[in-house]
Amino acid sequence: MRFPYQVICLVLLAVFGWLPAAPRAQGAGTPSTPGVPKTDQQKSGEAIFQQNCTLCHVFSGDKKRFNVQSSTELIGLYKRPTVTDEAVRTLILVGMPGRMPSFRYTLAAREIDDLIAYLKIR
Amino acid sequence: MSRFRLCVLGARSAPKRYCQPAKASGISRAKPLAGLCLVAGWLVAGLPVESQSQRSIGGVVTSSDGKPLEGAAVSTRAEGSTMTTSVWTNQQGEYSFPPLPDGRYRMWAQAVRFTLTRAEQTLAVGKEVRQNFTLPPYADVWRQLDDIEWFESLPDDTPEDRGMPGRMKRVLHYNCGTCHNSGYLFAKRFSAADWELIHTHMSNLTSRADPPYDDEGITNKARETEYTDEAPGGGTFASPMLDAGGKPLGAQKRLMEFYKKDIIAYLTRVRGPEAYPMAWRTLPRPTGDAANIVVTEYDVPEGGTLNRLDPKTGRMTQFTLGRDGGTARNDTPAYYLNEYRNGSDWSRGIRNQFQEIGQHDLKVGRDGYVYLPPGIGRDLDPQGNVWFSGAGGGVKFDVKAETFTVYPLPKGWEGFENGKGVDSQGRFWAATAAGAYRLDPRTGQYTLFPSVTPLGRPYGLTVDREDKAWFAQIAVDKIGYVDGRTGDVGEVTLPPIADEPMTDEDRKTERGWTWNQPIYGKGPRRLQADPRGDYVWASSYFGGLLSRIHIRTKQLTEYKLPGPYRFGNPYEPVVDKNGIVWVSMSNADLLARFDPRTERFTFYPIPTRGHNARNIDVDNTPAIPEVWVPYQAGGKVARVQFRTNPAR
Repeated sequence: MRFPYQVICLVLLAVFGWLPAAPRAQGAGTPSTPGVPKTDQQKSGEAIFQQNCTLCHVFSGDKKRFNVQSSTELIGLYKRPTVTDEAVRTLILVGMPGRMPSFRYTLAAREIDDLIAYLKIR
Repeated sequence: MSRFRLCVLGARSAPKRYCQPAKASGISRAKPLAGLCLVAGWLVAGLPVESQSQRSIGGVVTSSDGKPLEGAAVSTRAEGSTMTTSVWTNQQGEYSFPPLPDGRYRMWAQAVRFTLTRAEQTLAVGKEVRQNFTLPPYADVWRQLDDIEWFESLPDDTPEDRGMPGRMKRVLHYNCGTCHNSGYLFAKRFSAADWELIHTHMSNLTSRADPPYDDEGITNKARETEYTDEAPGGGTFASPMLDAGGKPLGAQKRLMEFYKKDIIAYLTRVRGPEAYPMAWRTLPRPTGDAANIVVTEYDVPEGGTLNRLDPKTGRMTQFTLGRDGGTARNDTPAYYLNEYRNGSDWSRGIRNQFQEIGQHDLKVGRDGYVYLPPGIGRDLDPQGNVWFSGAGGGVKFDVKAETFTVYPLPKGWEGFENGKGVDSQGRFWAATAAGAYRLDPRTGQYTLFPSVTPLGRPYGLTVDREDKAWFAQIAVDKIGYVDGRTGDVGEVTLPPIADEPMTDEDRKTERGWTWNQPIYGKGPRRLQADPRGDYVWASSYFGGLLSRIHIRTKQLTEYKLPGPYRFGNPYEPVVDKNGIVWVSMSNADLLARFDPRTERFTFYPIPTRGHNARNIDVDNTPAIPEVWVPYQAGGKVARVQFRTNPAR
């Protein structure tokens, strides 16, 4: 069981290019403010993002001070050519050992759809 | 602008509080207008005048089987408005809104265990509109739960409770509840490995704010001494606990690590991959007086600056301190609105990641406005100016001149902690790591009054009517005070919790700090003096109780919040002109009322899920005082008005 899980994580690392959990600036050309949701699904997704993702994926002065920020705020995520819905869905469901919990027991399929819709415009 | 002119304006369009200063100051021309102002203000402010003919929208809420639903919340919001009004149904399921302006309204009705149901209506002049609702049952009740309903629903007899009923609820309350509403935490389900990952993350985070290694710069600079104590209250920890690198663990991390196995095992058991047979226990819906209220919620604009709210119109004006010391005024501030995020639909659950990200403070001005300062801690001076902190010092906002003045702390002095107050002489007080500061605005000079017990983590602060400054020391269960007239300092000690079961090991754990506490601790956090009486009231966030201290005898009396409300995180108590104590609840969508004469609590509903109230205020101007509640979550502040007509 460990082998396919590790493979999945390696693939996800390749897709998202995640770095060790230390704060870093957004990459060049990455917008610094998130996109504004317009559709109901995007708005719902933003709410789900706020409820489940922001603790690590939204930066703040305190988080910087306490060194607990994740590697990215996920702004402009879908501008990366390697990012696909399926890869994002898999990451949300599987998580990353020692890095990010799996949300398979927390989020329903429709909630993940909404979250992805938001991530596309974030 | 003279007070007289303000009163004239009040007669035409402004709230009635405009008249109050003029009347108090004895300006003769203002007096004949006072009554007119009062009536005009009452009418235009949309207060809950109880007259059948003035009802604007009313109806009946029933369940699918046709039975009336008592205590259901009904809310409405006009198109383009930033105000939402909510009322609750009576025993017959009937509701009625106070008079509302003409317009197109969205409406919704909801109750836990029932599906939120929506409608739209148009109000025209003189027209009374009926809108009935039928609420189907709702299956995923856990999504709608109030935070304390989560605590009610969690098991209290697991192996991790170690024979002490409810132990783990309290362990989680004391170790997670500072930063997270319980619904935010418990709505999630993770594997044991992921709960451990999260615990590790949180434990690392909490250690960053631990004495003596934290970034808050405890007391060295303020005391101008080398400070070697490491344990809250002074001295060193009785038992060594070292991390993998041999470094002593701080006060908070020690608790996180002590409870690590039990926390992970309990969370995996009840919120893990396997569905735990949870019995969802919901609170009774509000009835009687508790349901006979009107709550008006005002959206708060974006931007961490001073907002001034006109309660009559809901209009916000922003004031920003410029780098050059000037003040910028913005009459059209920007809002960011997403109804899925604002807590109005309870089935969307508890929204916020951290508790303290929204509007923390609020102060009812003496000029008819409500002030929403940035940061934490605020008060009015004798002239009605608003004081808070920022820009490296105390900040005064002159409400007439609409200008900021900053009184910087001397270079190298410790920063402010949470509480702020102003005494009868107009001197600004602020909690600080070493005790309390007092600023004389005439000279700009600060004076430090060190606390008796060091490293107690001064938190909230208030000034009583005899100019004693009182400050909660959350880490050591003490309330310190400084006599502003003599400079004498002292403190009152709250005894440890004795009525809740815990193991001997629990009792041996050492004191925590702001975020993590031992389960025998109380955690006094906010306090307010009765401006007309002889008591200071303090709330114990972790312990779930109110403490009353006589300002001269220092006699202590404690009142525990009953039953499930114990987990409601009572935050700031404020005393109204009738001696009633109002308490914000940051872990329950309720506003608590405590009558010291009967020693009874009443809990009023707040219509936003996970609203997380902090520093509230009371408007004593109306015959029946009104309570103002800022939300940390949901992007709103609320005005709670109490109706007098039981039939509604």
